[in-house]
Amino acid sequence: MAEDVMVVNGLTKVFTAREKGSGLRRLFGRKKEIVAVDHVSFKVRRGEILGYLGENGSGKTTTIKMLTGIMTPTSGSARVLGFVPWERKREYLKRIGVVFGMQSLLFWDIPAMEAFKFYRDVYEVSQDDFSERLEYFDSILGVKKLAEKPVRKMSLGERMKCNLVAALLHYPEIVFLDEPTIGLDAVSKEAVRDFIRDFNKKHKLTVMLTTHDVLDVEALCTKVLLLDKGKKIFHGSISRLKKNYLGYKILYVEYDRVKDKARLESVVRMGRLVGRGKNWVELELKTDGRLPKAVAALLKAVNVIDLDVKEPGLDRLLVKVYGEKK
Amino acid sequence: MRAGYYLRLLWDMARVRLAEMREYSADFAVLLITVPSYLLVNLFFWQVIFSHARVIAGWTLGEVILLQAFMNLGFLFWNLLYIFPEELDEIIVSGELNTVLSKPVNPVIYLLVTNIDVLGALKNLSGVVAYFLVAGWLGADISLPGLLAGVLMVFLGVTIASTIVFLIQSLSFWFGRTNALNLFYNAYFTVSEYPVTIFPASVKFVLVMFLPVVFFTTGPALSSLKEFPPEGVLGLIALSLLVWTVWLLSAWLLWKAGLKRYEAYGS
Repeated sequence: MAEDVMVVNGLTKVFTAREKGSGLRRLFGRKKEIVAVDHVSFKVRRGEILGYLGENGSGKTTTIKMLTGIMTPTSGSARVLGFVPWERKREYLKRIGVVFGMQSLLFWDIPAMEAFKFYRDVYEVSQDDFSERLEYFDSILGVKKLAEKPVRKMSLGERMKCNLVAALLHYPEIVFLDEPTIGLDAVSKEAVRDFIRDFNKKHKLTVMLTTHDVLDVEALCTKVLLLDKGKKIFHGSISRLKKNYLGYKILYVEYDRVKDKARLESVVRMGRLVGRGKNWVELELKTDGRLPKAVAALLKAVNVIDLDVKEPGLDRLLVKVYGEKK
Repeated sequence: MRAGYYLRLLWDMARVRLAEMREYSADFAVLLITVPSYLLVNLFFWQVIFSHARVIAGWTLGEVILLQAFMNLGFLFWNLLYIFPEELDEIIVSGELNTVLSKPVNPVIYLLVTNIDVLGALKNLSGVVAYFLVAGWLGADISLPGLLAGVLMVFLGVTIASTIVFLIQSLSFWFGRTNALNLFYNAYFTVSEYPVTIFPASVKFVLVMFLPVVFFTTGPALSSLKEFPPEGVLGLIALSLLVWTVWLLSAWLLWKAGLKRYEAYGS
């Protein structure tokens, strides 16, 4: 079994801010405390891709900032690769990588290759390793040619590809990705996901990923951790999340003839109607034994030309989770 | 501190800045006209002042131009080694510091080496060369050991000024932007254009201890003149080291405290 590379216990970050007001009230208003991360504990194993999810302001980025040594927590402890992150030991920072979707590691006016060379020296990567790694990045992301044009002339997707290369040139053991696909088109998102997946597989890279794109999570994550107002509300596999929070599946049936209208209506009443057309029906059915009964009844009620039973998407699940919390 | 490592990064950044200049070669070409024009206008200004009196508060035209040369040398050191005032404020407030803190580097040294300003250095280098030549031509009585001591002193003077800047800009950790304090730098740079010896004693004290302009221009200019005694040079160097130690300790403590409460603005 892979070892735990990240052990976080009761991590908490409290910010102080002045109470809102105008003029002098804003300057001298009473201080109030904002708990951004509230006693969060979890472990991550080597090679795991953890989706760190939550609504805006739920404490995702703050956690990442503490685990990358940028910020000091108010209380709690964490060991990442055996180091306390906020002690900012050089040996630790050399073994991690960080990508903030909204911040660039590149130099705006000149080709990205200059940034790659700079980070080669920052992380003391040998020239041989540098060349070999560039070949690898090029084989998946096609960055070699891209890196020759000035960053300002690149599309957002191209910039993100180059940013990823700059952040991973030193082959970190853990990478923290804060919304790496934000603002990208579908093709660029897929390229970024393919790359993360490949790097994870080939180099046993551990990834902590925050994103608002559920497709990122479904495509990449082995586990997810859900935050709500700084508090952990779930940590585990996606299938367990679905089991815990959903307990239903979606049944879709398309038919060309109704054999028994009353039976069809009784099937519809077994679940929650999602949609209905002239010759199709979509239902949410609880996974408590109702589903096989409904399928059997449908086969008798209509002349089926297509039938599909699927799990609801993660997007629906998250809406349900956070909806319930509110 | 790993000097070789950071020198390598400094060299890398110099290469990056040169590449940026190549991207905007037209802008660079315009500089070839504007920089000499600026130097000529400045020389003309001092020439007009000294057309009314041969010596002002004991300073001749050649000596004041020598002071200008040292001021440009100071800015040259600043361009190459230190971070300019407004930049650190921006780096803290915009969250750019996040990127720095997640790298295996000493954040202060990294900020210094990555903020090298090659274009500014070239501008100031031309000033250094031009003003030294003009000062010599105007008959400023320069001694070689004095000149070397002056170079050392201007380096120390810039180091002190940069340390003060660092200290003040570290207040951004608490107050966000510290633009209002830019007046301090403006005062510093304005006063540094004139010999400190022309001011009354109380102002001189401030300009030695709190706004240590004396080590930036006047001290180096005096040191390089033959009439200034060697013990005076050594005294100035020792005093600058003392003043620097006090400011450095304060800046280091404030920076450390600031990092601890850094709120890492931006995503």
